[in-house]
Amino acid sequence: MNKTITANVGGFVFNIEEQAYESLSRYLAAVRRSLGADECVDEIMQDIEHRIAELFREFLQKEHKEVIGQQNVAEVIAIMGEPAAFAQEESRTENEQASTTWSDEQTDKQFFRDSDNSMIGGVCSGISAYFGWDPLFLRILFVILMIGFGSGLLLYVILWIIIPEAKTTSEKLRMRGKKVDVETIKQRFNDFKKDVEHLSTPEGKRKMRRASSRMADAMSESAKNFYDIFGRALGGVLLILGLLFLIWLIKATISSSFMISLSEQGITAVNFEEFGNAFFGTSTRTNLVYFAVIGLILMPILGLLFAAVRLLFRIPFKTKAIGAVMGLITSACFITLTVIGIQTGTDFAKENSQVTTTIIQTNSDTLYLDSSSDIYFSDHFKHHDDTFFELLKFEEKEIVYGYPLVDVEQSPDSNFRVNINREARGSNQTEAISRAKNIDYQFAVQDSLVTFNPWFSSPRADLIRGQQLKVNIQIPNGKTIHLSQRSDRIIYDIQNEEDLSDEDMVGFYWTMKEKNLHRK
Amino acid sequence: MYCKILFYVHIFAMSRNNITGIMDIENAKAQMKKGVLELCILSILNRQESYPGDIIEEMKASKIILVEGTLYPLLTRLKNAGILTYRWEESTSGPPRKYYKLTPEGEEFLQELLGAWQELVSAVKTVSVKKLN
Repeated sequence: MNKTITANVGGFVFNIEEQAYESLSRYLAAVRRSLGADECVDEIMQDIEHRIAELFREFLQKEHKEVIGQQNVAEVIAIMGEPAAFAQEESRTENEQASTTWSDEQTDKQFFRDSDNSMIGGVCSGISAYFGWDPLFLRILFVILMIGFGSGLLLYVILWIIIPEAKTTSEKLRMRGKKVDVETIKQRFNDFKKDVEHLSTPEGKRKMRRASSRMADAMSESAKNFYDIFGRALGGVLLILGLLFLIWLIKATISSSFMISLSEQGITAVNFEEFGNAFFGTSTRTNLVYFAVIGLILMPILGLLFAAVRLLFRIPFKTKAIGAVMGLITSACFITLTVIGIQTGTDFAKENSQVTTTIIQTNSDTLYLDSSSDIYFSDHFKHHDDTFFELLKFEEKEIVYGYPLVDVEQSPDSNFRVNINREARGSNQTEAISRAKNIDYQFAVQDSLVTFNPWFSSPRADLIRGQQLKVNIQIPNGKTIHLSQRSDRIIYDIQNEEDLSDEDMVGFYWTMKEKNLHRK
Repeated sequence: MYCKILFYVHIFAMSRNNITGIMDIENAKAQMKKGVLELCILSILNRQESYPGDIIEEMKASKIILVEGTLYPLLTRLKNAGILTYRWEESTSGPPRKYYKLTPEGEEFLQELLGAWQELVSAVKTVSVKKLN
């Protein structure tokens, strides 16, 4: 018992044994190949198929059976001749080649373009036929590729050229089994040219129109489902997101404390207006920045909401006009921010530092370092984990900064010294010097006890211009410093022999030996 | 025309690769037969309108070709060159058949071919007879 396949040969239906079918289709593929790059290959193939159909009919009548077997196919091949015989003007060497490839062709598989079920060139339907897919998915994919990246078009054209069209019945049945080589591509390129020319004929144009309208239909059909399920879900998510952002923005605007700084601790807030005035200089600029920032945040939120409403309710907005207005506002905001940013930036151009040195008059071999109680901020910040905005306070006439940085190093002579280093920036040196000198910092000395304030301040008029205060305590070689528990608030990155971090150094005595601190 | 040129270029490339193949006697015979194939087909069709099956029978009988495969490409090319024309005729034993006949140009072409063939035959005769002597 053998499995049979129903095959259409030259317009007639035959039941063919599977093996016989395989060898027949291989034979036809080989014949086609040996016909080479000829314009009339299709016609010849058709004639051949007709003849084969005729021969099959004769066999079946003569043998009184209904199924074409391997023997019949072999007879047909004997009558029609080896594939090489079809190659009219070729030399024998090539014929031999053709016949070898024919017999080697056992496992060959071939893509064909399915022009019967084509929208444009039959690429998608052919590939789908090969894999047994529904061509719709591939078509949607191609349309997405075309719209999304444009590369889909190129890919389609390339596939159109390199995949041969299934013209004869056996090819249509097979839709598989042939290598793509230079010669066949050449031929297919000619075919493609013809196809394209065909597309420009009235019939082709009609086909294109039909294809595009069918595609549009298919798209809108699938789009209906797509929008209904996915689109509405997406719309819902977008709407919720947009509303959340909008509420947050309104809340932040009303409470006007939404200067956001992203730090390790998350989002912290500082009064925007005060910081803005201190940073940008004038309240006009602050307001401009304020509105520009709101605009920049608001536009995407509005866009989100528009998209959501469109997806959910399919209200036909005048998308272009809305887009243009939103784009205009966005760029205005962007330009405002840029201009003010540059103006402010130039005010940071020059840096200056002013150092004042105090020699501690004491007979003690140990200097006791302490921090005074913090009247502006907290005594209990986790060591230097706090952000810039947390340690910033606006008083009536001054800005208070909560981060003086205290360091310890070896003294050049036998005196304990305290160097106060005031730093600031300005658009020129004079401005930077004046701002540095304006920094107000206090520390108290009582014999061997030095108490530092954990804050410093500068006048409001000086704005926030990179003001920094560094305290440099100098210990003579062989002498000792004691770090009080509370000094944790102010010491910063003190070098020590044990490589301990600042918070682990407090509460101990440290002796200066060869430019390094050793625990006592 | 373009196709033909491509074809020849291709053949040239192929034959350069394997020049010894041309010296093969079978090949030489096949080439000769191919040369007169057109002439034979046109002569048959000049006598009467025929479909490929008939042509094959006659040619097989005179051993010019042994397989049908050779015929189909040739017929199609001659038809495309305007030398042949065909009409469909229903067949009881299968698909409709193409009955080919010569066009007026085809008849002219055949006359020229026949003339050339006569010249060739006498030329070959002269040469080979001289050689034998």
